[in-house]
Amino acid sequence: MYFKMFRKSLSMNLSVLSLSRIQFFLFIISIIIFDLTLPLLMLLVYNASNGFPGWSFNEYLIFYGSFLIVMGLVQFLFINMLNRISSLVKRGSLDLLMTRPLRLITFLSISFPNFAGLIEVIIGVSIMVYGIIGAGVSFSIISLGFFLFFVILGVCFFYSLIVILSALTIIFVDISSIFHLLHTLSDVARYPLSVYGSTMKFIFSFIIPFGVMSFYPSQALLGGLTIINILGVFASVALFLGFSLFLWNQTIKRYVSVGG
Amino acid sequence: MNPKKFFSIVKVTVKNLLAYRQQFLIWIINAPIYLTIMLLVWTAVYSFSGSGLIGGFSFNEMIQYYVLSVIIGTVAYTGIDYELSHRINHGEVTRDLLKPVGFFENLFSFDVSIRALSLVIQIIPFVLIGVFFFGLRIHSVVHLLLFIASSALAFLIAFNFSFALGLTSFWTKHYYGLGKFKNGINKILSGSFIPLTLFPAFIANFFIFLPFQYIGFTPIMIFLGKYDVLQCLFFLLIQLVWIIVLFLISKLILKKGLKIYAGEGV
Repeated sequence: MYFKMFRKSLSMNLSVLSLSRIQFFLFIISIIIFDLTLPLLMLLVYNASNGFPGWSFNEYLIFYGSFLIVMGLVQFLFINMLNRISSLVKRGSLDLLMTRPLRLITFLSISFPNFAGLIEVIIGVSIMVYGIIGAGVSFSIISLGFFLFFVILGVCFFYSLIVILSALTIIFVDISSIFHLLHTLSDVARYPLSVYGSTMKFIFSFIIPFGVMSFYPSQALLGGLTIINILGVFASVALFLGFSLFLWNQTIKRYVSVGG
Repeated sequence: MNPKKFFSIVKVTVKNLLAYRQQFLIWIINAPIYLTIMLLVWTAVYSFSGSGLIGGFSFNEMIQYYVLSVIIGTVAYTGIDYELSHRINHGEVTRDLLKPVGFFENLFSFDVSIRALSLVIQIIPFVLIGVFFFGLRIHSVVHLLLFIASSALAFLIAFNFSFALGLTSFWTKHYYGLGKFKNGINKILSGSFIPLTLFPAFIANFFIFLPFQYIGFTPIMIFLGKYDVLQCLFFLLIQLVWIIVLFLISKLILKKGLKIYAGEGV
């Protein structure tokens, strides 16, 4: 049932986006521009300096491609959930959804897919492949398996962030700027963890695991993983996800309708 | 425009914005997080570089660049194009045309009120955070005054540019693609991501002929004392020229747009 709902929502999203061909075309072009901007600017930084310590430019492309793949999947599946919840709460329409025979969090998670995310995944794969060829990296099936494992963990972690911020939106009703906060938080994962120093690297690996969005997937391909990394990051993402769902459930229990 | 009408619109807009105050807390938290990330990133790049200068900026100047980029972004970033597109598509322009205030003036007052609120709630805290935590220092009092003037002109450029783009909704109905495209181009070409001096010279020279660098990069360079007073005045003049050009373009597009406006969604 939920899969059918997801497919229907995706088809509606595509229909809305393609109402105007020119806007749709500009939309895709702007996604490509956005996603290529940081690598191009990093190229300028690498030309003007030695770049990031421990990272060649091609290795950075592998890293950034991993980030785009995770963010693309998040965008495709969940990103619209946050501003839709804000809109539902302000209009008092969340109450209507709560009366339906559906698990609310699941329904909200799958009802607002965004086709643009798939474009971002394609761009991410392209950048990563370019970086892999440029760096001359070779990897095994096991490494690829760990890469996909960390990509899934990265999606789960960012989903947890979205759920936490959604809960805050329900509590405070109108915090439309929370979307900017989400974007700023994702900036942490745009740069290798090694630039943040050892203390922040530990925090971003095992406490608030932003590293799982880009650093650890790329390390799976670059051969930088250890058992501690794998188990520690998995545990921290699982705890984070658990906490986000707990917060959501507590928020819904205390929900008082406004607007409507 | 009648000052009484202007302040009436400002008062009402500010009251609406203050209905839910928590979002301002988010705005204030946002900047230090972003600046801390940039501080750590550039610390790593400079320490690995071995050179004291990158793109003509020392480390301290680079950090101040990003602090100023956040401050300018708060002044000059405007969503008036999205607001305009929403009003056109929902027939709210009809209501606006019935008001005893010009359409352009109405939306200008609306945006000025948002900037005024930002000045109090965001910019003052950002400046204090910049001074106490990120080493923000003025080059000279003259440059500070020129920076303030340049920032005000940057807002007017951004407003007129966004206003002109938003008016295309009279014809296209949808704006999401063009809006996203504008934001992306603006961020890159205004120097928000990195200083424009890092671009190859032939590309940086081309940017001079576009309005974007005068929205972000130019005011920042004035503050940092990268231009002498005469150069600063020259750039202020260029900003004024862009304001006039973009204002005239907006007026022309508005005149043509209102002719075909049908009030759909009223």
